[in-house]
Amino acid sequence: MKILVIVKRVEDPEIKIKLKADGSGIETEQMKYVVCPFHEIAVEEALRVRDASGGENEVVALCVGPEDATQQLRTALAMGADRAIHVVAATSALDPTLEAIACEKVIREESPEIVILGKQAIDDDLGVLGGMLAERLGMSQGTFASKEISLDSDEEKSKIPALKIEGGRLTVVREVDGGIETLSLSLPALVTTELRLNMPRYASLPGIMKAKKKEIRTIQLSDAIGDATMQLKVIKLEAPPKRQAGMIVPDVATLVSKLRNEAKVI
Amino acid sequence: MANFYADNEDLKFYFEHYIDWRELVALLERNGKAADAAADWKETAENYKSIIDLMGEFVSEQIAPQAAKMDLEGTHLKDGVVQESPTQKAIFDQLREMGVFGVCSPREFGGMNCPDLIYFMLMEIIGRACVSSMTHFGFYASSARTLLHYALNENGVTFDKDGNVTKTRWEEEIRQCAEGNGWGSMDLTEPSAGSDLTRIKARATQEADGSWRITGNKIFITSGHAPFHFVLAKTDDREDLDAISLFFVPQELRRDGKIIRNITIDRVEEKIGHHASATCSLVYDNSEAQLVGNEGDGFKLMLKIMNHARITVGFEGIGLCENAYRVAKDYAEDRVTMGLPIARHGLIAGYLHEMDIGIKAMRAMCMEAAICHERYVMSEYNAKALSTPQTPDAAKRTRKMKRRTRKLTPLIKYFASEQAVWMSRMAMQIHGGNGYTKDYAPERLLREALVMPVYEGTSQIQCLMAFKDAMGFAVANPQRFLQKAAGLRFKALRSTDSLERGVYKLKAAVYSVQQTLLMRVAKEKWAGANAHSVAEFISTFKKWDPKQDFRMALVHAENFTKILIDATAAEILLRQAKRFPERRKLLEQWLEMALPRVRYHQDLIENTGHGVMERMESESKSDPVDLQIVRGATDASVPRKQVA
Repeated sequence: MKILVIVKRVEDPEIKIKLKADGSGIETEQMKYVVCPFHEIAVEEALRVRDASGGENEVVALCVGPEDATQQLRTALAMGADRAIHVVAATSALDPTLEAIACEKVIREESPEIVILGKQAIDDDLGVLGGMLAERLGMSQGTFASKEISLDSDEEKSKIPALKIEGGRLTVVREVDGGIETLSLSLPALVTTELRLNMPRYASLPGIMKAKKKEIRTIQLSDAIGDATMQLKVIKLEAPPKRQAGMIVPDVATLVSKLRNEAKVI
Repeated sequence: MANFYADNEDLKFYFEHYIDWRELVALLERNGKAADAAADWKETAENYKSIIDLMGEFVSEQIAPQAAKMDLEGTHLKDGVVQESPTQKAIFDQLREMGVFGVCSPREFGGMNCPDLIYFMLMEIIGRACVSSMTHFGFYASSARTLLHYALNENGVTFDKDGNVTKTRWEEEIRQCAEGNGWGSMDLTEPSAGSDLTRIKARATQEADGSWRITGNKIFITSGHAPFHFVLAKTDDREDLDAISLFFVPQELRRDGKIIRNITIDRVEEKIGHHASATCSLVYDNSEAQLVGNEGDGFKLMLKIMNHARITVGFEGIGLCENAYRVAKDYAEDRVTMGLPIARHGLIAGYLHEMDIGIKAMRAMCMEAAICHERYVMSEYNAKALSTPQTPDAAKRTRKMKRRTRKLTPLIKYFASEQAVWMSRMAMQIHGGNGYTKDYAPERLLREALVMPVYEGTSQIQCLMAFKDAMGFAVANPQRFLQKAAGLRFKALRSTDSLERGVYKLKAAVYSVQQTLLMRVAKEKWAGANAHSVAEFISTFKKWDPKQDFRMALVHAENFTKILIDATAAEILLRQAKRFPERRKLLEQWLEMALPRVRYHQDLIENTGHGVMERMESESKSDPVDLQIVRGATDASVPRKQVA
């Protein structure tokens, strides 16, 4: 069983984002980068599926991103992935179509049974890569994979995978409006992860050391996408308007009157 | 992601700029000869950084949010077995999975072979979240190193040609510690003996077959539910340090396939704080024990752990202070009175400033001690591991590092403990009424801090050690002492750099108060005679009796220690400022606070103390007791050679 997991390099959500003065992008000086939390969950799930399946199993981590995105691949390797592939691009914020083309090429070469990635990345929150990829690869897909049991439960702590493989089919529990839906997918299949799928592990100290020795194969973006070009153009970034200070009203009557006369919402 | 390493600029300064990793890695990895050493020092240092970064994240996300819960759960005794806090247990399970316990153990035992410096930094980071978890956690790694060093001390370790351990006494136990499945507690204190260990009653006797048995009672044993114990017991009945030996005592014995208890835990203390760390009372009843080292070496061997443990308390103090400072600062920036956040009112701003600078000074001293400690311990270890004695030059450096560590250890133990109490107290004060409730962190921090000036040798013991070490130096060679004092006074006037002048002023003050105290001692010896020459001064101390002669001076041991701390921190910060100009500001800020403080303590030493002396003298006349002040403080590396 081969599982390919996509990790995305994103800005550390703990660091406050500052825009460049001309709005052409964000300030990258002093920025710290991490693996996107959704994709971290994808890595965790991939490791669990690998460890729960018998036979020869492998988790391959794939990242499309700039030179130092190797750090995020090392994180995945330190968590336990077996090897990594790095498609070196000028930026992490690629046109999703180009990213899909690049991933498609690698995935076709690797031909894994399962592809797992975050349902979206926390940088631009587009959330289109999973769907695009499944379509291009002609794979069945289970998006927004989640699980019914609590993340505090013992089952979760014992690291049992939520994705179950039985009789050559993959069962995915997914969140839908108003409830939970269970899909049975033929393999190969692509899964995108929701936040409630698992609690990702911390890397172990020996894992960190071992990660340094694991293979990271690099591919230049141009070699992966051929002559495809960027479709998406960033025109300008703007910070959302600052929230106005609120006010405390003395009683319900004042509240109602303000809503009616000032805010004009009732 | 929240990260207690990444959010701490001062800590990062040491890691990323100050520490000479090339030198330390060479020592730790024996120039690349150690088994499975990384390709070069840079890669090794990068590994260290990945570890500290990962732990910074883990501690801030997993331990810090649960500290209050662990405090509430506490540890309890049920049917003779210690029940740890379930929350702490779950955290330790996670740490075990992450392989953190063996961080500083050699790879031969499944460890990561990181320097103790990494251990100390981890202590700061964990201490910032929860000092009682830190205390318990610390026992694992430190027990592994203690066992190995004890084995080494009695030549019980064999090495291959590259210095990797091939066989050692306690191999299994060391491995257990590195895996996070075992630790050893330090069993010293008894109901009637704490600071004065010559009064212990635990008695060891040797059986006909050469094995040992211990009978006695120990109290206040931190993490005393340990799988094995380092126990001090007497091998003869004299009230003397030479009568004390050290024993390795397993908690359980296997006999005829059955497990029987070798030590009984009869009580877990109810304490003000440190609830998630079990403080046990232990009973040995003809308990099977193994002698460690030679008979009579117990005290000396225990000091090897104690000094390491005291540096650990230094880092624990930094962690707790960092927490107190940050919660106080956050609160003060949010809380508005009279139209301003209280952080911008002069008084509160002043407290916060003093906390911030104090933490940085503390860290400077602790890092210095940890680095010196690492260098001398590893140099000595490698000399044995590689069977290559150190070159005379290297041996000289090692001795220097050892001296420096010994000088710094009581200072950081005292300083960090007292600061932890003061800073958590200020954090509470800054929180006003809220600070007195359980809804906010400061009350817990203050409760946790209060034990620090008491355990691992009280603050007063640290003062005595610092005082006697310094005085011992002066008395051992008065001529050299006077020359140094004159040299410093000269530098304090002549240096072209104003900050340097400030540092020399502080150092000159140390010598000046020592001279004052010695003169006073001398005057007592000369019984009222007045004018005396330097030559007489010198000859007086060639024949002196520390037990009697220091009585007067000891009244000022704490004032003296405070001066020594102010001066020592300044000296270290000056060295940093010379290498890193961006550190000059910190030195300047420290001097601004330290100079007037030292003047005040100097004034106290020069002009007070007579009242208490008179009282002590009249009391000792009306109720004479054997005033063995000095013997009571024989703790630590009092250089007997020097003072005798």
